[in-house]
Amino acid sequence: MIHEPVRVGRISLAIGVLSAAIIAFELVLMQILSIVQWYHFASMIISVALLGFGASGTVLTFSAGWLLERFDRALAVLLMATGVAMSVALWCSQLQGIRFDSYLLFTGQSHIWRLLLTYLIFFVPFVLGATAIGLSFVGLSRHIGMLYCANLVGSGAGAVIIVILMWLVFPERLVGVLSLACIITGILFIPGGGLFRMVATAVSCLIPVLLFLHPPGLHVSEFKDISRALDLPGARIAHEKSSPFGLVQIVSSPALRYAPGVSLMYTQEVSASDAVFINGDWLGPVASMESAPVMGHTTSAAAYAMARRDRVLFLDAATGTDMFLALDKGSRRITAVEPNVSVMEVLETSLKSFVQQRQARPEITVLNTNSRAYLASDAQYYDLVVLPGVGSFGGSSGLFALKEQYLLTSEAFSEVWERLGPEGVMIITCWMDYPTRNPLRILATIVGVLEDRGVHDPKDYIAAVRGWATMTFVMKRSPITEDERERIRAFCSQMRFDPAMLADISAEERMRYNRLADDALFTLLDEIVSPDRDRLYESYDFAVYPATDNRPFFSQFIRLQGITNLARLFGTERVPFFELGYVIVLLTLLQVGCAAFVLIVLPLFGIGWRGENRAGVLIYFSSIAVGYMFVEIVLIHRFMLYFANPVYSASAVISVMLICSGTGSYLSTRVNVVDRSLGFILGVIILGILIASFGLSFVVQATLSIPGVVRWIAVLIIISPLCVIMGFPFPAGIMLVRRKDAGSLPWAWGINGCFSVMSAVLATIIAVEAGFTGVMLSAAGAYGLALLAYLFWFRKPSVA
Amino acid sequence: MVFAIIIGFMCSGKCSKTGRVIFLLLCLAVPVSSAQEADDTYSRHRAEMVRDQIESRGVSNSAVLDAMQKVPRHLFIPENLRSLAYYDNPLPIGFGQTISQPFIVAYMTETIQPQAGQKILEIGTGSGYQAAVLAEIVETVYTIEIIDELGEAAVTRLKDLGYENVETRIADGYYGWEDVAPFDAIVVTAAAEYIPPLLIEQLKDGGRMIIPVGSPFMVQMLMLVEKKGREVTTEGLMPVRFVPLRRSR
Repeated sequence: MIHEPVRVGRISLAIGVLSAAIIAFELVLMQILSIVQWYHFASMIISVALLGFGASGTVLTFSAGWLLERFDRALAVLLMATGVAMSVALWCSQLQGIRFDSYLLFTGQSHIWRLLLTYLIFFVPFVLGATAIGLSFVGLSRHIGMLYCANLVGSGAGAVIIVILMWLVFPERLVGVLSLACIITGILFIPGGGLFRMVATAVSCLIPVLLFLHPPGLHVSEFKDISRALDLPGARIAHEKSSPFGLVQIVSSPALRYAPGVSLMYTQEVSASDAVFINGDWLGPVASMESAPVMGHTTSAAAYAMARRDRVLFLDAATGTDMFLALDKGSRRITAVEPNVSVMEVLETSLKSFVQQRQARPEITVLNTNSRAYLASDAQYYDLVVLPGVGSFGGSSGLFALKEQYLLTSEAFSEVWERLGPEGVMIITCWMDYPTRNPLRILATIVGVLEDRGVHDPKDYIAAVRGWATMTFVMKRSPITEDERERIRAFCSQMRFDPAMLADISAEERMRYNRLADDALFTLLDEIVSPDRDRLYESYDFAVYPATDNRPFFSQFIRLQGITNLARLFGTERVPFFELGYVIVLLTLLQVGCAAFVLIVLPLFGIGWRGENRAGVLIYFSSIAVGYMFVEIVLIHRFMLYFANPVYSASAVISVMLICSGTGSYLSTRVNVVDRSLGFILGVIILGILIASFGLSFVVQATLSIPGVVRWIAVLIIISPLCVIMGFPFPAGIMLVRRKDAGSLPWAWGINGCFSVMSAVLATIIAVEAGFTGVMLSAAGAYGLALLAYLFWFRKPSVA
Repeated sequence: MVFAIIIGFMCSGKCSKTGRVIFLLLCLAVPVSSAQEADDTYSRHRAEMVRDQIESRGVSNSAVLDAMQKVPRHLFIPENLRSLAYYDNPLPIGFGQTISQPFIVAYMTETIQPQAGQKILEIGTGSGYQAAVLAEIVETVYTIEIIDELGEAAVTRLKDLGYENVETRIADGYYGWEDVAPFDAIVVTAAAEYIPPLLIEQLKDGGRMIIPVGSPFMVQMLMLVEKKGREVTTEGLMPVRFVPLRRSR
């Protein structure tokens, strides 16, 4: 017979390990889906995890009695089943008949069903794990404090540990590690011993061990850049490295070449070079001085034609292709900032061989940090600042619509402006798209910066050069001189490019070598530099106003008002391909919403709703679910500015929120919030969210320059007060319902779970449409509704 | 099921020997006539495609229209998607490639102004459909595909369909096809971020090169490259014109 404290201790440890594994599994899945598909599935994974937790409440509603009668065995089985399910889920998701492709979702119906099936497959381990946690809370409710503590500490630890493990182990193998952790923990609880224990141990350990030793191949979408590169003759993956920044792979093939929009006057060989991909998306070639002549024949070289550039800064330098152009043009002091350490290693290797061959060595500094953080802390001035390229050849069908691009916001451009010397310029190159979007938004952002600085005629400070495929914008700190304009014209003539914007440009020179079907592009560009630009922003079928830190989705263009026109011109079936990323999130909302209703709420109709305060329960528990998830999603997006990496950001925010709100939940049971101050607590939450809505951006901006590791502590300090208080309403509400309206208890849990699931995705949609401030204000509004529900339905004198 | 009916009837003893023979012949004719019906259906869809998707959008070159009518597009598409062959959409053909929307194929073909007796180079054979359409008009089509599997399948397909004037090579299109250059026109269906200098070199003086630009399942722009003497110019063609909204004054 095990002493009770020892038994509770073992169960608490098991819950801690399970909680860590579940959060870790969530983050690993986000990484895996970024590799095989694209980034926008991050919110889907959060939703699926919440679906599991929500459904576990429903499971326990129907089976708690049966499970409690055989508590130890049930807990053991659930722990082991969670581990097995993690491995099986990953394996199944990669099977040919099940795996989906983002591009094929709208070319036939089968992939939509496959997407739904993928949710359900990933849902299983979460519901099993959450049921185990819930069962321990129900079965050992007298020790809820220790169990809560284990749950929240485990969750927080899991988020941190997995980030460390991602540096050491590839994501598909990590699932095996997590599986094994759950299974071994479960084995500790199998009652008795003997043959059953041995067989259960052997069978359930076999699966994750096999998965670790022979992980399922991750089937990357055939439409990803790396898939097409690997189809080339002689292509092979020469090197790969995993990290929280993603999977970096170097592909080697004699047919891989890079010459982005190179002038048709370039007649030399375009040498083959290895190429770097991150999560299967093209990042750049492994650069060398051989690429300099090619890059010298692209529109990006316009800045060097204007004037000599001694001091050059490259932000998000990637593989450094542009750096070799700067070196070729004689730049003497070059600074490259690259946040991804694996990519930085590639860059440093390329530079090393260059430096070794040269006698006159320019000063080259490569920094591994967040580009925005560097701008916030740097005090130097530059002759040229180069931003990363925008878009891709032919476009990406808007798959990156929901990716935060904090280097392409008004605030970022303003910070670059502050780093320009008196004659310094910033350049940014984009791929031409049709209908025109990228060039317009870039110009709109530049014009916004100039307007903020009191520039009356932005045209004097802006130049643009257009080739057959790319356009490069130049923003100068001072007016562009006549001399510089003539040099740009000479450069264009030599390269057979056309100037697109100059203060004294004529219509004829805009299309001398690269004609367009009409002059709509130039009309739009001219309208943006005119005082009437706001009317264009309102009337154009695409959103081209500047992106901001509050709404940093540079590649999100589609507007509801423009869809009808697009459908008419291009066909309804083609409309999703303008912005696949956004459309997929809408589809996800629909699918997880239906799944949540079916799996969480619908079964509850089987037991009926015997409660009295149905409206109050519905409003209260749905509102706090919405409010909590909205805040969480905004924080994850906002702290992307800190970390420049979604996994780090999600890990930091999720771990801090879980620990802090878990602490709050625990404290709520000690302080008797229900009878005294729940209304006050809800009011404080609303106030806290409102302050965060407007103040968070300032705090993040002000602390951007602190070192990397310290940023994790900063996140803790910044958000912990609010998160602790946000932990109060749910347990307080449950206690209220238990006391006053016990028949509504399962419904309270189910409604909360259902709305949490939908809110994770809905928050992203609102962020796109109304910015992060809009989401936070919505969160405040949701807690306001909860307050009203409390005041009108639940606030009655307590019964002794 | 048909086979079962045949066996059942022949064993039933209810039919004379002659009757059984006739019945057997009729039953064997069923799949043949089914195939014929399918062909007729595809042919009808093809005619509708030419009328509703191509001619109605302004493609008027009679040679191009005839070619689009003649080439059995459905045979260039994976079997599981064959029912969508004549829809107004691009379709996946594997390896991250797509077969272009019928209108785009017709528009591109018309744009390069193909004529009998010409020699055309295609970079990116894909399914072979574009090559087949061109082959209906010009003397010889030289087509290059870099992906082995796609290239081999296209070779077989084009041969089975009787396109003797299409020469296929599985190679890197960067180098063009120097042995038989120069070309009256070049169609680059597997567009990349750069135009290989050798392709410009292998284009005849006065020749045209066409490149569709767009992500999978989207082609929004075509780029026409024209070579006149030493000058090479480009022109962006928009098969679908997106005219920005004009506010009323």
